[in-house]
Amino acid sequence: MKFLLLLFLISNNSLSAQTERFISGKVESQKDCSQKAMIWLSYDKDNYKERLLLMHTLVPIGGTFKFNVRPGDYQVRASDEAGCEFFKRFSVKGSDPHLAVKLEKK
Amino acid sequence: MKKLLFFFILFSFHSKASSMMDCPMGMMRVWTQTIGTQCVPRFNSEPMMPQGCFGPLSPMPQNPFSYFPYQLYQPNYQPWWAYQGNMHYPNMHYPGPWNYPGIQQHHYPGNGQIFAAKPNVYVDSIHKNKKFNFKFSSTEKLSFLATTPLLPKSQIWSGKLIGSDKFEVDEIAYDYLFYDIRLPKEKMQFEKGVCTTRNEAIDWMLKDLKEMKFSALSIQDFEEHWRVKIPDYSYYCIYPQYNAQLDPALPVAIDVDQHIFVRALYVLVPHKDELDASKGSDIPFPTKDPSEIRPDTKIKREIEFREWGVAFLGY
Repeated sequence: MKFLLLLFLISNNSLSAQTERFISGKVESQKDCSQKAMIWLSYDKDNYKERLLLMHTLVPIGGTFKFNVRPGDYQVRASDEAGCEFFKRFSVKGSDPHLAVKLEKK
Repeated sequence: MKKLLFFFILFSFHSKASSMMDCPMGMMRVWTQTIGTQCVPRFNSEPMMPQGCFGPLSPMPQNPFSYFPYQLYQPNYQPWWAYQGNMHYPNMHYPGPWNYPGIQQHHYPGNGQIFAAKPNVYVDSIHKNKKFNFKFSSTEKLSFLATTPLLPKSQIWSGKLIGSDKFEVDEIAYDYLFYDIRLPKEKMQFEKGVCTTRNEAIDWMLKDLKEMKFSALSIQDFEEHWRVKIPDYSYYCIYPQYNAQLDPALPVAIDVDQHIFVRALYVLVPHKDELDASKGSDIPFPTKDPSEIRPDTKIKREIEFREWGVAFLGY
């Protein structure tokens, strides 16, 4: 029985490792931010010590975006020309996060 | 005692400065996952700054990142987002996680060895407020990596064309529709193309876009993005993919009357050393003129969609 459970866990784990997941979001901002923001997706490894930029996309305020990713640990950073920023780090495993990217003046 | 303390502080500053020191003249700092950060010979793809001149002024005098040490090769002029990206990402001047001669594909989901980065779709329309549906109509599963605006499961962007050159989706105006996607290598052509230096490769692509009557805005976007994101290697071979290759590989249906859709995707293969056909290459050197397969854009239509993109191989 234990063996079956172990087998189930291993197969489930390897399945989830191959599954495609999605990170989507909508960009919001304060009045003193710019009209467009760059959304940066980086893939973090080794407890966030190594930041690999995977993709980035320029999104107008109010606009939406979607990244297709492997399950794992990620950072989404947003920045604009006026110095407004947003930052969030999270794990993508069994669900597809939808982010409210709220840019704020720092 | 004071002297001792002074020398200690001086020494500690010096040793810190040394550890953060930029590469010597003629070298550039590069980073890959396998070798880490290293100084390598700098291929002079941008004109050197004349001696005695001041450097280009930052477009963002208040830029909070401006004091951050440069991490990698950078062209003389950079858009605002490149300054910011440099601060956070060691592979900013690459199209993704990179290991010469291509992208490390294991970081991405999906299939296909061709990483089409940033195909942008632009429109030029004489009709204002015209509704449109832009559908990726392939029956095969597609390997998208990113989309803006968000592409729903139906794989259709719906909205209306506003002004003469913008898309409105969910009441938000976009200058272009954007996606990153993986495509099958076997559906691309590697016979027709050109090989040249990095700078001349960029110039060749810009000229090619002009030949196909891409708008000034779309060409400006292309240059701004790819001067930053094409890695700094001596030579590149460009294998252009046009409608003849892209329509079967990634069919698109646009339900707007009287339109054309001109497509160009430049597959780039970098070469560190001077091109030498006798050495052999993973991808054969091109032997034919690519203008033979360039789409004909002589006839003007009421609504014209144009798409450009640059792709690299994944390994």
